[in-house]
Amino acid sequence: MALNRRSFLTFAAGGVAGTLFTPVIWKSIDDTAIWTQNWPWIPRLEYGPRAYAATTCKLCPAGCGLNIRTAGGRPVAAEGRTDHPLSQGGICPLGAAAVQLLYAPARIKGPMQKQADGTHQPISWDQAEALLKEKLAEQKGKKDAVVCVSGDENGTINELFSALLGGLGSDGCFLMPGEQLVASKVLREGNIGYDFENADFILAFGADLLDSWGTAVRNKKAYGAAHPVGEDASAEYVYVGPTQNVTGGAADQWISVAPGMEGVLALGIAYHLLQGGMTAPQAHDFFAYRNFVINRYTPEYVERLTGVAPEQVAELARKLRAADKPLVIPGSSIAQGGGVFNFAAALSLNMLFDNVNSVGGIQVLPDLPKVVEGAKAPALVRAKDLVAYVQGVAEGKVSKPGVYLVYEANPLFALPQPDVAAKAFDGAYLVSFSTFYDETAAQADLLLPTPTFIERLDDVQTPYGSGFASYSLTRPVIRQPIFDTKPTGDVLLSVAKALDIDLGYDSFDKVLEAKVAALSELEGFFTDKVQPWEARAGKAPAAASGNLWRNISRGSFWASIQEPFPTAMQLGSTIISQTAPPDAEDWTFPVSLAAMDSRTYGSRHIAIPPFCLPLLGEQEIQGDVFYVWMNSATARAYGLQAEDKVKLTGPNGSCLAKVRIFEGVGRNMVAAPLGFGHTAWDKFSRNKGDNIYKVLTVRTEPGSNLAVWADSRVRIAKA
Amino acid sequence: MVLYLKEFKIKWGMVIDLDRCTGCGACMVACQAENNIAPPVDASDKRYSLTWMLVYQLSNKQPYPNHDVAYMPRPCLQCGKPNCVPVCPVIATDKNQEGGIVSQVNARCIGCRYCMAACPYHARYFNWQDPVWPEGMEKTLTPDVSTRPRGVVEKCLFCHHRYMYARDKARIEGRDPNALNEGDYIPACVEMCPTGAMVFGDLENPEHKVHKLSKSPYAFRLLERLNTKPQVYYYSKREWVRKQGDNYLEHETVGGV
Ligand code: SF4
Ligand code: SF4
Ligand code: SF4
Repeated sequence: MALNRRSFLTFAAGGVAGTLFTPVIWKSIDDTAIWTQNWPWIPRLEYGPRAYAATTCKLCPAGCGLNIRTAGGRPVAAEGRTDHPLSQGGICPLGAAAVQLLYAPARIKGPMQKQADGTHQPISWDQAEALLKEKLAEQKGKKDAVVCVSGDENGTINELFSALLGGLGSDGCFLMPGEQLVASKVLREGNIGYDFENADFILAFGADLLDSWGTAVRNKKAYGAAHPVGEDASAEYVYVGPTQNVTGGAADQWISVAPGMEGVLALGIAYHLLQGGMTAPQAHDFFAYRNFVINRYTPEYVERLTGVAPEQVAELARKLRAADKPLVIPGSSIAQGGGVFNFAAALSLNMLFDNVNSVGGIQVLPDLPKVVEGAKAPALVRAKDLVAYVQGVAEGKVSKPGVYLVYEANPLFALPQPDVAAKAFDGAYLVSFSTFYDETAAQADLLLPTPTFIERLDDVQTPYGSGFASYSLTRPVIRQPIFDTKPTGDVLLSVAKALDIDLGYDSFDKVLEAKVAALSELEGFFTDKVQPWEARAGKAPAAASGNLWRNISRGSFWASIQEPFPTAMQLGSTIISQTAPPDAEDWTFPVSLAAMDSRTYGSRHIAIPPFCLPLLGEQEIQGDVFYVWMNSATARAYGLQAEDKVKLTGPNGSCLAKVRIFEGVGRNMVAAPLGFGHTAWDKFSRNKGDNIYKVLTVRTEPGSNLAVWADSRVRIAKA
Repeated sequence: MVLYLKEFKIKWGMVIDLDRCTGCGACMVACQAENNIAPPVDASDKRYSLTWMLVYQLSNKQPYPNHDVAYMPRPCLQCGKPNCVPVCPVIATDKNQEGGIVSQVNARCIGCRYCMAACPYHARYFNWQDPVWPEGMEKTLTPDVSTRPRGVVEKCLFCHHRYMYARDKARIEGRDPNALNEGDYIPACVEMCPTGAMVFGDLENPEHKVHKLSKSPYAFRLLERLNTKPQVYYYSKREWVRKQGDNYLEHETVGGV
C-alpha cells in the first residue's frame, strides 16, 4: 500500500510526543514532507550539486554583477556578486527575478514569421536568416533605408548593428532614449561618470539614483555605506524631484519641483554661489554664465517657477559650500526625456566647485576602443535622437525606412506617444530580436529571438552613471539555450556574410574576444583587491595583466580610472540660455505629469516579471486598474477622493486610473507609474493598468532641438 | 505545556534599519526564489498572496510638503513567546531548537489556521490554492525547501536550511556548530539587500553586531506591549516611525533620544 499524506499522518501520530522532546533535525522532516506531499500538481524537487556562476545582468543598463546559483546544473536563483563593484552583493528586484524569467510564458520559443492572417508561425533559422537577408538586400544601397533600434545601451552588439547598417548604406543606428542622449549633447566626447563613493554631499536633480537611474545597485551600496546602521551618516543625500520616489523617500531631504523645473532650481542655487563670490576660472564662459544667472535666476524668479521658498534655496547653497566633496547629479526622474537645459544647469554647479575629474566629483570617462571595422563611434550613436526621428517619419518629413531592426527594445510600447511610433513603423518590414513576446514583437513581420543573458555570451561596457570605465561579460550559465534561440550577434554576422558585407568576424564570441584584447591598450585593473573608487582616492591597483580573456570570461571585472583627454569644460552658458524653459502657465493642461519608473515595474524592455508582482501594493494595482498618485490638496482642487476613477488627458492621449492619495507628490502634480498596461507579454503582465507612455507628450526643446517629454502636462477629471 | 518559553543560548535575529531601507523589494523577490513560492497571476488580491517577507510602507501622515515615508520589511519575527505556537493542535509549529527559530512543519499542518489568527503580525500565510509554476519554471525550484500544497499554513523560517548548511560546514571544518561566526549564516533577504538595511546575527552573542544594535535607544520591536518578544528588532532615529511601529497612542512617549 502506498502511503499518502493522510495515512502518513495517522501513522506518525504516535511519534509526535517523541519529536517534541528530542531536537529533531528539520531537514529530515522536510524530506519526509517532500515524500508525503507528492501529489502530481506539486512539483517534485530535483537535487544535484550546488554551484555558482558569476555573470553580469543585462535586464537594465546598470550592469550589475550577478551570481547565478545552480542546483544540478539548473539555474535556481540570482544573487548579487560581492566581488563586483556595481553590485557588491546587492541586487534589485528585477535582477532577483532573472532566473525565473528564463521560463516566463512570454518567451519566444523559436524564429517565427508573420502570416497573412496576422498570426506568427514557426519557421527554421535557415528560413529566417534567408528572409532577413532578402529583405535587407532589397534595401542595400538605398540611403537610410534600414534602421536599427537598440535597447542595449552599452553592448558591443551596437558596433555590429552600425557596421552592418553602414554596409547597407544607412546611418540609422539608434539607442532607446536615456540619460546618455542628453549627456552626449553637453559632452561631445566620452561619458559622464559620478564618483558617489568619495562624495560627502550628494544633490540629485531628478535622477532617481536609488531605483531606476544609472548604476542603481552600486548607488544604493554607496548610500548604504554612507548611512551605517547605528552610526552617524558620512554623507548627506538631497533629492530634488517631483515625487517622494525611492530616492526622495530615502534621501535626507526631499524638495519637490515640477518635472522640467529642476534646472531652474539649480540655477537658483548657482545664483547664491555666484553672489557669494564663487568663480570657475577654468571655464572660458564663466563671465557669460555669471551674468546670465545673476540677472535672470533671482530668488523671486526661481520661487515663481519652482514654488521653492528663497530661504530653502539659499540653505541648499550653504550646504553645498559647507561640504568637503559636493557632487551634483543631473537627470530626469524617469531617466529619459529630460532636456539639455535641466542637465546642463545642474551639471554646471559641479564646475563651480571645480570637481570635474577630481575625487568625489564628476568624471569624464573614455569610450572603450571599437573593434568592428566600419562601426560608428559610440558617441555618435549615443547622440542620435530616436524620438525626433520617429516623429519625423510619422509626420512624413523624413522618408520611411524599408526595414526596422529592433533589438532588446520595445519601441511600440516604451517610446513617448507610442501611436506615433506605430505610424512610423507601419508599412515597413519589422524585425524583432526580442527574447520576449513584447508589443513590438507582436507587430513584427519576423521574430528572431535572442537568448536571455543567462544563456549567452555578451558584454557590458561602462554603464551610464558609473564613476569609472569598466568592462564585464555575461556568459552562458546553461549549456544549451532553453528554446530555439540564437544570439543576435551571430545572426547579424551570418546575414552580413550572405550580403557580402565583411564585418571581420565569424562569430560574436570572436568580436568579444577582440574587445577584451583591445582593453590592454588602456590602463586598467581587476577589482579583486582594489575598488575603482579606492583607486581614485589614491590606493594603487595592480595593472591588469596576464590572459585578460580568461579572467574576464570567468567573471573578473575590469575597471579603469584613466581620463580620456584633458577636458576644457564649459559651464554651458550658451546652451543654458538658449534652452531655458518657457515661463508660461498652461491652462489647457494645468497639471504636471510626474511619471515614475522603478525596477519593480521591470525595465524599458522587460515587463513586470512574475516574481515582482507581489511587490505591488494594494494602492498600485487592483485587478486590472492601476493608480495614479496625488497629494490631498491637488485631489481636493479637482474634486477627487481616494479610490475615485480619474481620467488623465494629455495633448496626445489619455488613460484611466484610480486615485491614490500620497502626500509625497508635489503641488499640482499627478504621479503615474511607467511600465503598466502591457497588451502583449504573458498573463502575468498583460492587461494590468494602462500605459503612461501614451500620455507623455513630446516637445522640441528650443536651442537643442532635442525631443523632450519628461515635463509632460495633463488635464485630470473624475471619470 | 510551556515548552515554547524555553530560553535559548543562541537567538538568531535581525535588526532592520528603517532609515536605510528604501523599499525596493529585492528582499521579497529573493525570499520567493529561495523558498520556492509560486508566482501569483493576480497579486492585487492580498488575501491570497504569499509573501513571507513583506515590505510595508509607513507614512508620517503629514500633508505635503512635510510628508515622510519609511519602509518596513516584515519577515516572521520569530517571537520569543510566540502566540502562534501554543494554539497549534498538532504541534506543526514549535520553538524548540537552539537558535530560537519558530519552526513550521508543513507536512504536519492540518490547515486549521489557528496560528494565523493568533499571530499579531500577519506573518503566516495559508495556501488557498495549489501552487502553480508556469511550465518549465518548476526547474528553478531550489532543492532546499519543499513546496507546500493547498491547505497548509506557511511562513518565514529565517531560511533555516541555510542555518543547517552553515552548521554542517562548521562541523566539517572542525568548528563548533553552536558558535557560528557572524556571516556564516545569513537568510536570503538579508544577503541580497542592496542598502544593507538588515543586519543578521545572534542576539545573545556580544561579538555579533545585532547584539549591540538591539540595545540601542533607537531600536524597538513591533507591538512590544504584547510581550511576544520578537527576535526581529527595528531601528529608526525618527520618532514617528518608532511610534507607529509600537502602536503608541498620541500622548505616549517613546524610547530613543
Ligand atoms: S539594476 Fe539592472 S542590471 Fe542591476 S540587477 Fe537590476 S536589472 Fe539587473
Ligand atoms: S532589499 Fe533592503 S532596501 Fe530593499 S526593501 Fe528589502 S530591506 Fe529594504
Ligand atoms: S511573528 Fe507570528 S508567526 Fe512569527 S513567531 Fe511571532 S506569532 Fe508566530
